[in-house]
Amino acid sequence: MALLTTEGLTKRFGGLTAVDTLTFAVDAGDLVGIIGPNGAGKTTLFSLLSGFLRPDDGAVVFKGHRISGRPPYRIVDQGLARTFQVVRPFTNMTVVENVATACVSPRARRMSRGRDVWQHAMEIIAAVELEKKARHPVETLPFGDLRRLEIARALATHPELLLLDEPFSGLSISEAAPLETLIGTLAQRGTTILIVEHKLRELMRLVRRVIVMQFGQIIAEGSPAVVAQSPRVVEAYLGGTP
Amino acid sequence: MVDVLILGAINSAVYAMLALGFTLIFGVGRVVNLAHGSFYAMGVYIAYTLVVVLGLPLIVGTTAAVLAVAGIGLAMDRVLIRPLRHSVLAVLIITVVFALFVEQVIFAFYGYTSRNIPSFTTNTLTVLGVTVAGQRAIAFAAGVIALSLVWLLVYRTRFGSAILAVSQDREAATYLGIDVDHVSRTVMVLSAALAAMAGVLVAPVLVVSPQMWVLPLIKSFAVVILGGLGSIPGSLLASVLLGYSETAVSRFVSSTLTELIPLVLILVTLLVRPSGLLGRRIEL
Amino acid sequence: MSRTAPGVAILVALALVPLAVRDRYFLSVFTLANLYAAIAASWDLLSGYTGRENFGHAVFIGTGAYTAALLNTRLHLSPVLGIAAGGGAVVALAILVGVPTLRLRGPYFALATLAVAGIMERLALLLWPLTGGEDGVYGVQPLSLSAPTTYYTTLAFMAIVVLGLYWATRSEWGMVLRAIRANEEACEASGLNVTVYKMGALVLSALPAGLAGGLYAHVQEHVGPAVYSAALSVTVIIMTVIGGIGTIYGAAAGGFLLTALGEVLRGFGPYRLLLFSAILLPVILFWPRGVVVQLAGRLRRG
Repeated sequence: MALLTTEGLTKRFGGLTAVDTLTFAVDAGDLVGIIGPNGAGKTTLFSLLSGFLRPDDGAVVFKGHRISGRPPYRIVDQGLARTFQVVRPFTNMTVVENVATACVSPRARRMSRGRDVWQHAMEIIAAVELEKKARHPVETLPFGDLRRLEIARALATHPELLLLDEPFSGLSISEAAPLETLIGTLAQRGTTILIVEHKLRELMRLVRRVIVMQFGQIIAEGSPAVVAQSPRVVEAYLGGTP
Repeated sequence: MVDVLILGAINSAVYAMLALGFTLIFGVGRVVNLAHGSFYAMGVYIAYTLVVVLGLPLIVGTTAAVLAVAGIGLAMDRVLIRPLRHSVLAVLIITVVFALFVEQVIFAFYGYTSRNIPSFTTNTLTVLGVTVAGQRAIAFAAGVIALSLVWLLVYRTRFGSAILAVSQDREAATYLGIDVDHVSRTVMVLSAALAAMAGVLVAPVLVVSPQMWVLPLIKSFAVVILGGLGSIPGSLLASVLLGYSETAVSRFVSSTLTELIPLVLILVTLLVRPSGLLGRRIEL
Repeated sequence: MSRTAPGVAILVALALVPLAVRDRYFLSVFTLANLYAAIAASWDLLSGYTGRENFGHAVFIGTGAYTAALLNTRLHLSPVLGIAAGGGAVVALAILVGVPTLRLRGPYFALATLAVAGIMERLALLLWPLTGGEDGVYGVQPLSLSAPTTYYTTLAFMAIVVLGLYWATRSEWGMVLRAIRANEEACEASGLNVTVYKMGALVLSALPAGLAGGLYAHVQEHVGPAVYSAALSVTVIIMTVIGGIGTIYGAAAGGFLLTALGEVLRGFGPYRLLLFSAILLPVILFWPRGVVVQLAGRLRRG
């Protein structure tokens, strides 16, 4: 049984159909990239999967349970976590407080097996290599570290499926490399990962499977090499007929 | 029934004058000015001072009062609101303390006894078989003219487009070269002037006291919330709704209950549809 | 300098007040100051920590006050039971008000709470057979015939409230509240049921206010519609703003400061509110983060 499936998932905003009867599946252990030109509906898809939006039609099924329409905190409790494209650190708090807040959640507590919130938080922070800055206020963090912090918060809940929304955007090459390594490590440890990304070079290197979206629909699916060759995909990115 | 139609129209015009300025300030500056009712009260008392105490002609006195309040509004914006822009709560608190201050200044000069402002005219009109005090008719006419002028300003002039632009996206407006501060200042002045005008026009037929800033503030809130914070057509529509529902309830049910109407309207709107009838969907 | 030392010193000083102040009137001012400090601290919990500014806090004070007053005068319940019942009523009210309003933010939440308080105030006047209308409820049993005892009761109450709320804000629960204030969606994404936390904050904010209202009824031996007034709600907010939002002790200090200021100005008769507001304007302008908090910060660094 696939870890995550969507069945005919649809979301409309006024006259615009952002996600159009989308159907796909993700198996446990997958490392999948979702790409597509701007406005393809990728972030809307993430919001639908993580409970921040309710679908107008169709369903999202995670580990055999229908999660579409449930509030985000319940979905996180099931083991599905996401990061945001625009980083949302908890301002006026330190790095460790940011992660510790996520460690207070029911799932994080269950998964930490008796360790207290602060210990648990420090372990997660170590996993993303931010230990040196644990007591720093988040306002002092450079952008690359804020991205790590986002991921750390998501990891605090020990998700089985992690949704990363444009994790590489805005990062310099030197910041992107360690992030790539981190994601690779997480995948190796068994976390299923879904990444939305515009930076195709990093993405194609990283993932094993790619889903291409345009206008809310899937226009191609397969290994990075195959998808990169597909004329439909090239056309979608270059804007179609001149 | 017809008298409800006529009176409701007059009330609506007055509420529109009050609420329009309020909604403009919020739309343009995201500022909630709890001293808005004070502009109304100041217009009345300054006019009273100039006309009754100092003996200036009515037209001169009332016009001067409106201009004076506009100036006070500008000063308040500069001195009290501008430095605290970063905190919604600080602006709320300082404007309400300012409103209290104004009330107390008025009280210090004039005490709590009600005053009487002379009407522009003691004639009465008969419209559709209903006798209407001339003052009310003038209030209605002046109100409609003022509102039309504001409408023209906002929707037919370049400056008006600037107002709409800042209201939609403050940052983007700066990229377009719009002087956002200038727009904010002008809107504040306009808002104060409209509120003062409403006061001056309506005062002869109303009770005048230092606490007269509270009720207009609540009504402005009701109109602006119901219509949608930041929406001009919304405020106009809601003014009509509030004006008529109050007049109707007062006439057919009970006048004590009319006090509850604006409050209930605010609550119901916020719970059912916080963006109001015509407002933008607010980011919740 | 340890964090708790100043607090302990202040408590000790406050405990010694009845020894220094013999005048019954002045002691009653201190008694009221205790109640205000507790109320301001309770307001700070919700508004300072979750970023939802409650402009109708008086609705909890008033409900606690009227419940205690009516139960005492009509059903002859003892003050302890009446005040406790007031606390219960306020918790129920908080849940009732919270369910529809907590999803609103910023000025919208402020307005909704203002509207609720305004409606309750009008109702207190309209339902005059029950509430005594403009006059209110007279003949409420005094808390104690001894002024010092009354003072110590309110002091103990205030100390428990302020310490309890302070401790709550330093806990993991308080940390979540601060995170909610910073970014609600990110909290949801971290697996936290934000609604439950907000409701908890509202209830914990309402309870001390309701109990304080009940105490007030038995201290003043009278309750009138002013306990529901917007003026009271705004006064509480001003106390917290002057003292410093988001610290609990700042709010309590603001409560004392403003009560003291009110008393100092009493000698100016009809002009006291004028002076009061005239003094407040520059204070808010120059110390928007709160006089007490900013001063405390400077002392700690200096």
